[in-house]
Amino acid sequence: MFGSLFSRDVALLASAFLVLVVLMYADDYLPAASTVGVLNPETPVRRDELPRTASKPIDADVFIPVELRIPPQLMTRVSGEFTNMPLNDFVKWMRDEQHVDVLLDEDGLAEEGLSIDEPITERIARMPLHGLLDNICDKLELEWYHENGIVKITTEIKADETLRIVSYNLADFIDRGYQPYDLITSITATLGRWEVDGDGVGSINRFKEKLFVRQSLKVQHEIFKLLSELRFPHERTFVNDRRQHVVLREILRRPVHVIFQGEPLHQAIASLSHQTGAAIQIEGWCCDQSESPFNTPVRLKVGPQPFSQILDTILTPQNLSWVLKDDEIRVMTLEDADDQMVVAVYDVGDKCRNEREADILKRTLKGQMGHAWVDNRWITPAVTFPKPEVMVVLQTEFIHDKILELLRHERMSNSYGNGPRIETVPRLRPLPSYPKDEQQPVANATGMFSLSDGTPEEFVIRRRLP
Amino acid sequence: MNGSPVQKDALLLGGTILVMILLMYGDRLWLESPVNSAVTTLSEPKVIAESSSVRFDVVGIPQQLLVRVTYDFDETPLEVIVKRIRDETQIDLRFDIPALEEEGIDSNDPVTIDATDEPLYLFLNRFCRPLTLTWYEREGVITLTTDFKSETAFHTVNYNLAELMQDGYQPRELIDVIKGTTSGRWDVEYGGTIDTHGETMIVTQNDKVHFEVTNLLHKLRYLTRQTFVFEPPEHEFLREKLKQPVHVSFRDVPLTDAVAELSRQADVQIRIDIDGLEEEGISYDDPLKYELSSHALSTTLDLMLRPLALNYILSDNVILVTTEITTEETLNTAIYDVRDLCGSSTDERYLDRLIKNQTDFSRYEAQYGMSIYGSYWLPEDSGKIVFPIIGVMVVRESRSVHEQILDVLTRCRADE
Repeated sequence: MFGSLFSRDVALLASAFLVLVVLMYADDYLPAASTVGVLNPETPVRRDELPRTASKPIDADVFIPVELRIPPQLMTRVSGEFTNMPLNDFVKWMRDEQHVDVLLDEDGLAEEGLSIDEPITERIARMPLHGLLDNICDKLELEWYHENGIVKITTEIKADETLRIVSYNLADFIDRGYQPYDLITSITATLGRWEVDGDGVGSINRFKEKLFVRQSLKVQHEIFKLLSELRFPHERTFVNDRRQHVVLREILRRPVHVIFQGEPLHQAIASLSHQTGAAIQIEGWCCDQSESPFNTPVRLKVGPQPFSQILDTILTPQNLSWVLKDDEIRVMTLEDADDQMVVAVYDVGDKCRNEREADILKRTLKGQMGHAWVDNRWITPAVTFPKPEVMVVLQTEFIHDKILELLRHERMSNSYGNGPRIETVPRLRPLPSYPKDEQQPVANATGMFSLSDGTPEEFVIRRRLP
Repeated sequence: MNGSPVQKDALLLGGTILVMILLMYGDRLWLESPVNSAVTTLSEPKVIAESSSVRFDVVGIPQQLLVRVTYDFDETPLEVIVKRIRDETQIDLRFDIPALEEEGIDSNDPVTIDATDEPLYLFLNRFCRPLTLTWYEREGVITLTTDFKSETAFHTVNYNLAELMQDGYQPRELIDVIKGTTSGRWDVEYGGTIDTHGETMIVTQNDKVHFEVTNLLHKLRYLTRQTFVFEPPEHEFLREKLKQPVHVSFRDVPLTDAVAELSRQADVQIRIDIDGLEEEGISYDDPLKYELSSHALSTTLDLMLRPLALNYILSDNVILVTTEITTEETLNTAIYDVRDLCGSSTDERYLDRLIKNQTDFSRYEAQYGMSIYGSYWLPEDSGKIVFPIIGVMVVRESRSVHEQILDVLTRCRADE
């Protein structure tokens, strides 16, 4: 009797224990509802399966560090018109009408030859206050930043010297396969000046899963944008690109007819600006400089050609070029144009699956682009891989287009991605060449190049021998 | 009486399930241990106190100097001030006449100073500093002597390390932390000496350094997020006042008047280091123009002072507006409980590098190139980070750098 009762107790105890064990570990053994039907991420991808790029960027603002968020009081939308309003009166308007404290760095302004009474003319309709501050500061070549509830307006130099600490969470980057050390290399090689450069001031440290960066607010915003692009890379994305530049690229691709019959170059440029509606600014030109290349007569008669190629045709013989800068097309010397570098992120997941392949791609780019990578300029161009599948490049927009064309040439163009294909701007200017005393063995490729008199001539693309 | 077998089975099953539930969730049901109390000791779990992030107190002050006093002396001779203190507090307070004479200080020199219900030792510190005097206590007698004489008057004190060693501190590391983060000089020619014998540390130094060593060893046992080693409790009040909002509308107002207005609004003592400003050739009469709505006193002071190459420090119960150089030279020592961030010496190296790169650590040293040790005329006091034990960081730096360090550590701990 006792024996049977005892064995029943043991059986009950064992079954209760079993039920509890099942309840405790059920989660580990039963498939979660949300994972059913999803492919195992470890499933190897076939080499011929090209990666799919997201058709629409995911909003990255959720990741924006607190320090870079625009304070709510600057989100107020305002409408109105300022006509020749002194800067100091604008500061009073901000304080009295918008209840935002603004401090003017009077000493800094004076150092740049500006006064607190600089006239402001601005017409705005439902524009947030931060946008209005951007517009005003852009026009006066000033910077503004927000600190402890106060907006400070100062010079670009002073703003660059004002360092802020921002911490970026790397946890999701590590989950996406990025190595913190390689991320740091990509950031320091392509953005800002750093203590390691010797003359820089910024510093960057990793601690656990966070990245601590001490830099100017401008560079912090660029770093945030770079990290945002790295989260969701596309075929190619310019970091810190302006909306107006996208519009200008479209205009530069449009065909135009031109007939120039000996008018000075600056007039030809003005005429093109008028015809296309694109804002063009000539850097470093004064109308009374008779020896200036901008006074060279231009003779050209061409049918519908992309606007960009017409520009190259009239500028290149004078050793001039153009770049997109501050919402305009800026015409400048070739040398200066080669210093106007921008950062772009490339999704190269179809070409590079490991460090070895990334290294081969890097060497190919450097081999194909010749002098474009030589480190003898104000800004050093760079190619980095924060992970083998993603490439970050600091180069001129012209070289970026060449890189994209090169990548496409190697790629099955029809099957790459499901997003819209990026159109490059057609150019006629040659790749940067080596100085005569540094001539490298090259293979020549020929093409057509229109001179100022409209006569087509051969041009040479330099290619380093493999 | 015995119950049916079914009842027994049900009871047994119920009891078993109860035991299992207790085993599974017991840790959540027990009353939480007091890890969130204001101060934790090393033996407690690695949870850094949230409620009291900063701790102020001092040990080693003679009991008689803790008496609170209120004075208002205007151009009063030194001798008269000392006599009044002696009469009112019954403290045996004396001048070291030969030392004062050697420095050319006359006990009849007039002094203007006031105090409102504050400990006598803070009043004495403030009274002595501009006169390059200091005080020390021997057998109940308080003597006012010159800085020079005090700095060279070494005596030996034995410190018991038993409790610290029980907490895991090693004598070698304690010597390093004392040498690195107090103001004492330890060079063979002019410095003091420090040694350990078993659980006793034998230190030969001047009074000021002994005071620092006493406080440092005491506070290493009681950790918070930031513990200032030599700051009096009154500075906690000043730090609270710095957060208080003030409104300014200065139109061509001299700095002295502007500071007086801020002092009135925040109801706190703010003073200007006139001698320091004059030494650096900084004018305090230039008109200021500021219109700001409600912002913290610290923010307003920063905005006003930075363009003038000025800053502020907390000094003996007042907010003292002084030159940037003085601010950077005035170093405090603070202990940081970083057990939640550092579990190994590798973590310590990363944290050390993080703080040195991401703050203005040793900025003064870097700017002015004054980091050469061994030359006695150069400032031997410079920024320092020492980890006497894994998870405890002791830093000697200026007020603003300590603020930056606390900010960096807060970011390290943040979930974002």
